Parts: sequence; structure tokens; C-alpha cells
Amino acid sequence: MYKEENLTSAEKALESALGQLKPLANTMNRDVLMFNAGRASASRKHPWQILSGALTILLLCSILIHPETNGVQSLSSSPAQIESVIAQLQHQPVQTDSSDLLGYTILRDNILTNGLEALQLQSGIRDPEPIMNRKQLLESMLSL
Amino acid sequence: MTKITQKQLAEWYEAYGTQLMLYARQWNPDEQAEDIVQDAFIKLLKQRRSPDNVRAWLFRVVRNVSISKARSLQRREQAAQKLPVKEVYWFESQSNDLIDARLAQSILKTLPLNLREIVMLRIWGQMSLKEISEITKKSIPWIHKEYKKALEMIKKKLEHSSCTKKKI
Repeated sequence: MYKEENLTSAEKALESALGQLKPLANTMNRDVLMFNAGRASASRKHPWQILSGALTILLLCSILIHPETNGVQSLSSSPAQIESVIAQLQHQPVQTDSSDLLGYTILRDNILTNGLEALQLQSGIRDPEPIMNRKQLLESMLSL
Repeated sequence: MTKITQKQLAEWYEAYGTQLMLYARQWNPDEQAEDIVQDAFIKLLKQRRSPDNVRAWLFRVVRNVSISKARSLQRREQAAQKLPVKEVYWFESQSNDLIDARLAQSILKTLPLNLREIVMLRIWGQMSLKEISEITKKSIPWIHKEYKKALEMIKKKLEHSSCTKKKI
């Protein structure tokens, strides 16, 4: 431990003479300090407040920001892109399968003449069993 | 180590406020020194736990902020030429003073800042050499040597002055 009293008597006298000088009274207003202290303690953030704030921000971000689904192209295209695609399509020869076209024409005619039944026959869907009324159902049960 | 209450803060303010103001005035004009000391108390209140040595903690905070603010103020003054600074008294003039308050202030102002700081901390801050060494981050022997040097300088300047009321 260092000896703090290691001063000469003259030095001690000077020290005590200086020590008698009183620092100028504090000009600070104690009430102002206490007011500021009260305000500071009122606005003090607790850990749970910070945590809930962060979670809210994360939740909002997850709602607002969706990652793009793979394979789905963005609908927003520039007009230049759209024009180039249109031009490309216009220059492409139209490839049609004659058998498909013929099949389509036949189906269309059948639907126009026979109604929707033609569509069911065409697609191979069988007719469902006729719905029996109450009398028929009773008779069928009695016959058993 | 407990949480600080406003009552404690008021007590510490009464006990150390004046000393801290004197300490902060070394580097800064009066209004700025006030703000620095107030901020130090507010910072103390915001601490989760009370520091082991509250007085030393307050002095350290005031020191760090004062030095930093004084540097930026110096830069601003250099940029916008030196403006006349209003003289602020550090001590109260009392009839029974052994040394004239104004003379003491003028002599203290002529000391190199590191020496003046040690004198301030030791005499008016009533700090031990160990506490001063913790605040200034210097060794205790170095503090002791510089303190003695500062006292010697003050003594010589007082001897050359005729304003001493009483021979020391």
C-alpha cells in the first residue's frame, strides 16, 4: 500500500489552506435534476418491451414479405418484354394437329345436337344408375 | 449492490454535486459543465445496480464526458475563431480564506491539466490516491509524484504573489 501521508509539513499546510476554499455553490437546480431523473426512469425500457417490439416487427415482416414460389413467374413484365413475346408468337407457324382438330369438330357437333350427354359419352363416363322413386324402391325390397 | 432510488440520487447530488461541478469546470464552460453533471446523475439512475464506489463512478463519468465535449468544443472554437469566454468563478470568496479565491483559481488555471486534475480530485474531491489512479488510469506512485509537483508549483506561484492574506 502506498503511503498517502508522505507529504512534508509545508505541503500539508498548503493542502489544508487550499482545502478551505469552498467550491462555488451548485447552480444546478435540484428540482430540475429530480424532474429529469423521474422522466428518465419513466421512459426506461424493460426487456419484455424490447422483446415484444422485436417480435411484432418480425411478425409484420413475415406477413408483408413473401418469398416467390418456385416455378411461378412474376406477373410484372416490362412492356418491352411483352412486345418481344408477342412478336415471337406472331412469327411462329401455327402448329395444329389435324386429328385433334377433327375430333374437336365432331365433339362440338355432337354437343350441339344431343346436348351434354354427348360429352359424357365421348369422355367414356357411364350413365349413373337411374334414381328410383319411393314406389320402385319399395317394390324392389318386397321382391327380395 | 442494489437498484438506485430517486431518494438516493438526491442524497448523492447533495453530497457530490458541487465537487463534480468544480471538476467539470476545468474543461468546460459553466452551462456545459452543468449539463455534464446532470447527465452523469441521470446515467447513474439508469444503472441496473448501484456501483461499488458511487463517488468515483460519478467522477469518472464526468471526466470522460468532459474531455470528449471539451475536444469537440475546441474544434468548433478553432473553426469559428475564438469568442470571448465569460469568466466563471470556481470558489466562493470568504473573509477567512487563507488564500484568495480568485488568486487560487488563476494559479490553478496555469497548471498543466493533468496536474490540476489530480489536485482537484485530491483536495476538493477528497479522493484517495488509489481512487484517483482508478479514475485517471495512472499508477499510484505516478499520481503521488505529480501531486507533489503540483503542490510545489502552487506554492511557488503563491510566494511570488502578494495577494496571500496570510503566510503559509
